[in-house]
Amino acid sequence: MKSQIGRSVLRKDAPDKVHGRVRYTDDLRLPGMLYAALLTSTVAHANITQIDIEAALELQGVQGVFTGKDFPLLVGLYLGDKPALARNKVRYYGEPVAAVVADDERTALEAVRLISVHYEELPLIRSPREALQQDAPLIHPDMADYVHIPAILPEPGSNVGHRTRVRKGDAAAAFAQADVTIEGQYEFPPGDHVAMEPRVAIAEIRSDGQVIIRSSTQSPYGVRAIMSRCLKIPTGKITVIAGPVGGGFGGKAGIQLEPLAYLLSRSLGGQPVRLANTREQDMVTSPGAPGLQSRVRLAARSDGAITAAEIEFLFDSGGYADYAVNVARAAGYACTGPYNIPNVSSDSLSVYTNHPFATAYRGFGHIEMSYCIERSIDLLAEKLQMDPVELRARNVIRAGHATPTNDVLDDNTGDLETCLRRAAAAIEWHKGSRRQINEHTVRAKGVSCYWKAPAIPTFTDAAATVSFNEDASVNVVTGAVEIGQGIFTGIAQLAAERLGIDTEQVHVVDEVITDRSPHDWTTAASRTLFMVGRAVLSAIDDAVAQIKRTAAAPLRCPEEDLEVRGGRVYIRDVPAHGLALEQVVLGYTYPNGNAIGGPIIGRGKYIARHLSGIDPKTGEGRPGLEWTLGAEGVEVEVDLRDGRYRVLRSACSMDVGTVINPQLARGQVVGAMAMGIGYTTREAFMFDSRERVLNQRLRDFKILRYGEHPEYIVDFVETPQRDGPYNARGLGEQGIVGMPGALASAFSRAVGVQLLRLPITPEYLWRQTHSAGGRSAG
Amino acid sequence: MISYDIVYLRPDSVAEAVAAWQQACEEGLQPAFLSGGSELLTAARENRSRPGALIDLKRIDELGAIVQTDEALCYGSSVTLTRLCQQSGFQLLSQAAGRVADRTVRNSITLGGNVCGMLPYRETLLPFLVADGSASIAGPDGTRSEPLARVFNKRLRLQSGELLVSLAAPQSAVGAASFYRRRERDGRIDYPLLTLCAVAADSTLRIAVSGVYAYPLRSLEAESALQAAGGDPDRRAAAFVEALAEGVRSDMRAAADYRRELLRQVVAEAIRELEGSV
Amino acid sequence: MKRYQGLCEIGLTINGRARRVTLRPADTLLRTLRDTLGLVGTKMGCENGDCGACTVLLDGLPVKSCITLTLDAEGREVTTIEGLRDSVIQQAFVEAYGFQCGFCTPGVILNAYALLNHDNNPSAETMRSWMESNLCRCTGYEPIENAIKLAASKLR
Repeated sequence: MKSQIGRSVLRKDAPDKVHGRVRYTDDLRLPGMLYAALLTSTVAHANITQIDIEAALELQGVQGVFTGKDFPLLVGLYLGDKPALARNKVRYYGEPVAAVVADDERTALEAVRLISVHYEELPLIRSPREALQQDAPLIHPDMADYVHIPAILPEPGSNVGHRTRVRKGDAAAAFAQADVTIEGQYEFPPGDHVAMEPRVAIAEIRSDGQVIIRSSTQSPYGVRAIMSRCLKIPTGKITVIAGPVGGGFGGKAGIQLEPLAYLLSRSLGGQPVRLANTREQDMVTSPGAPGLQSRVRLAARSDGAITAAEIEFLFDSGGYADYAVNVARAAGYACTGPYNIPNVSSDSLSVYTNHPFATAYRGFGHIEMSYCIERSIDLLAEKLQMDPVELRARNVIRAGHATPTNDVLDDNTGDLETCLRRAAAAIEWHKGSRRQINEHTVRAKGVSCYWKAPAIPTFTDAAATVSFNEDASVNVVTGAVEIGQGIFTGIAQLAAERLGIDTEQVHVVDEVITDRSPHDWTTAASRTLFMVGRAVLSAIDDAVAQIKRTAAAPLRCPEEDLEVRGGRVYIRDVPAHGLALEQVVLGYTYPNGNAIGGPIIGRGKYIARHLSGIDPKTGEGRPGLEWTLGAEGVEVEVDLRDGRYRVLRSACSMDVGTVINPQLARGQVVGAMAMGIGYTTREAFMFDSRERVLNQRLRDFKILRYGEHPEYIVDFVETPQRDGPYNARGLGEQGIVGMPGALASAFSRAVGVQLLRLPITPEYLWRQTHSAGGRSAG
Repeated sequence: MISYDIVYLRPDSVAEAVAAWQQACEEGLQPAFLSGGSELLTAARENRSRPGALIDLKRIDELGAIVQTDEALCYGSSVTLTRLCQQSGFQLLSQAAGRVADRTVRNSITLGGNVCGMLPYRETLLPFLVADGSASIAGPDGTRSEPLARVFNKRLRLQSGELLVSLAAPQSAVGAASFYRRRERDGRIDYPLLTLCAVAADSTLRIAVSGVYAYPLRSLEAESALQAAGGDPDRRAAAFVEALAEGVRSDMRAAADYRRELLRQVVAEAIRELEGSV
Repeated sequence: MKRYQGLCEIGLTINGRARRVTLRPADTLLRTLRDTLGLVGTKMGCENGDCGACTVLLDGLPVKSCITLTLDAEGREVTTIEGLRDSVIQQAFVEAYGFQCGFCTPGVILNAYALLNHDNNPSAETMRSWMESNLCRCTGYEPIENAIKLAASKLR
């Protein structure tokens, strides 16, 4: 049997996906199902003075019309700040104000039109900096009463939902002694994930009170836990069912439409209620990616050694906290990027504004942080007149160095310098970083380094069970959700490798049902292959031990002499002497009919090792389980006359420990780079003067299209992660993290001005080119 | 989903379509002519417009024809943009049609729908504007043919109940040297910041643009200014832009000054490219 | 002149089979396929003609079913993803890892299928002009490009 590791096994879900046979949550139609539709806020910040629902209630087919006063409990992922429907006040454009439930969707939609709402508009907060001003209006005046988890530190009486402080060494002293310092201020607006499947949840309550939630979610267990905590339902009375998800990118992590769907069902005797986003609602009513305002100062010696960093990240969490508080925390603990900086002072805040609220987004704090840090390194390189690749290489973090939270990296740390050199080589950095093609066209290159560790609770877990069929094929059940990443294929490869069989013989159950699949934290944070993978391997080992126990008697040998491989259990030194697994996995039957053993069920589990909370004053602690390090390089071509550009090539070199499936791994990295190009160049909400989103349609909110993609160059370095499954570490998000920095660097080089904000559009490039200092086409 | 009820009418002839409009109005249905449907159906889903009756013009044979005579090429209003793109016989029209929306949607969008739609761009009109084309319009009083110079002012001036039967371009203009450019904010599947069609005819440059204003525009004043201005193409292009009215669009896609600069550059390109032909 | 109002019953030809459906004239083909006929392989991504997830073939040409009235399909051949079985293009998407989450995939595959029927040796620009009608958020498009090239090479 060839090794299953490092092989491009075809995806398990391929046949159904190419035939349109996968059943996503939106494809389900349950008997007796009712349809909900939302009325959403047309203003960004206002008191609701009156809601008139009479006309809607009278429409035939309407089963109920609900407003905030019907559902008084607050729900929140970390910080319980959000009503299921706005109560008394709306805090962002698009916030749900009323819900109609009707016999069919069109009746629900028609009824929504019959509801009238009167608003008394309130002063607006348009940015985190505005929110922090002394006299800024409070978006959540009741913050002191909100329930929150201990790791989140809200500051009542302000608009600060959370602050992560990092104090390492003595930054002030280092700045005082620095040869060179630079400062950069950066900003970008909020955006959206644009998963192709809009979010949807179907809730029903059985007669025995069991709450059944079907949802397009990355977090079936998270949904269960949060609903239990916030809505006072015993956990065991909630079952969450998560089938395949049509793209997540963080936007379906945490809690989404599920509580409202449940409340609507509960109000209607438990009948199934389907709550599905339109695309426009998915863009603004449900949460997106956070915006940021930031300031970074770096201090360095003249030889390029960075001695200190002073960093401020102000995350725009929008009207509610959701994941943004933890995004700010992740940016805080990772605040220097993958550089060894001995003295750090950093404050990372999640700040309320009157924008659509923000949640996890691919890269989770690290993509935002990375943009600011990589730009700052470029500013420093410019000031030092050093090659930006060499400056980075001079400062890369390595095993033995301490992270900003003073966590010393061990030997499992990837080899960033090699990644950097390889990414630079891939774009032929040595041949020059800027080249004039003709009178008005230039090609320019940029590089960046990145790192990312999962932002997870210290007790993040995973589990798996394996059972066997009569043909000795294996069933693997985990709590992992297939969101496109190919996790079931990866799991099958790990299980097959451990058993020495073909992946065809491994069946991964492709639907998570929380009361029968083993517990799993969440399919997010690029931790699933690592943690669920570990759990699966441990379940296989458990099953193998049981197989040996059963087989030892008929094979008349000690268990420890047995080996399980290739569908057989046999004596290690006499391989011919053995049994087919078919004879063992459901129990062994002797020729005379006596039977022993019984069906084998392997149990496996994993829980994060050595993670700790971080000190609220200094940030000291170990928040990151494993850091994936890498570097990216891009080349762009810009027409200086009008700022039009093409991204010509995009290279990523990443230290992933072990590549389990080269094609799946490449797919993750390429997809992430594409998303990073969109993030950098176009994916941003635009607001009118009253902070209403202008581009909530895909016609106006642009993501990359076919033909706009560059040549992708993907390269993996394999420094073993010894505690990972077959030495592998996470790679799902990392490819996006360095893209904004690399692209902004290339674009800056092209136009001759350091670009400090996103998105970098042709118009922005044109303005900068023709600004003072820009390389006007002349 | 379109949540309200619509009466759908499928006439077999232009006369039936016109009669259907009258009838629907009498029934109080607030009818709309349906051609490609991409704008109408999305607007109806969002309740931005709620016509009570849709009169589907797509199965009227007469509207689906491309007719070539010695004098002109005539395009039925139900011809899809994909067809125009592939077999219009009028390069400028093929180019303009070929960049509206995306290819799949162009299999649905029709010439008439694009020209008579609610959006400010209506790019397939531009080739007819620079060709000094004409429109055939059907209404209760029969069908009339009008030069665009008379019926087009910011939009086709159709009376209530009238429908566009066809647009025609004279062969002289169809064969003239032409120039087409389109500029978008970033990706090309987007509304244009600027679409420019130009032909060199009668020793002048005729130029029509979309995206710059809230309507397609051909400005004879600006064309004259270009003609009158001396110097290199950049100076003449600047003269063209100078002569245009105020009110260049500034919206989420681009600010007015950027649009004006794109226009100046593209006009200069047009001059350079067509110079030999003028 | 035909007139439809209220609930109507019409015949449609879908994937080569005659089907009878009851509909409202305002129903889009997307809604009829998914909600009435249960052909849920056709996906609702934006209902605004922007994303291409709902792409089906009408007389062999790709259209976005969210901006097509069902009545428009009367008398025409509708092909949905359920109408393609183990086709060369589908197999190529499997072999080239031409999808991840799979939500855009039915629309992408139908468009690519129509493209290759039109031209089994498409230039890069022809591929772009067809395939840029479909948004994909997962793949970065390279695997889709590879899948179409693979299928084209098998079809030639």
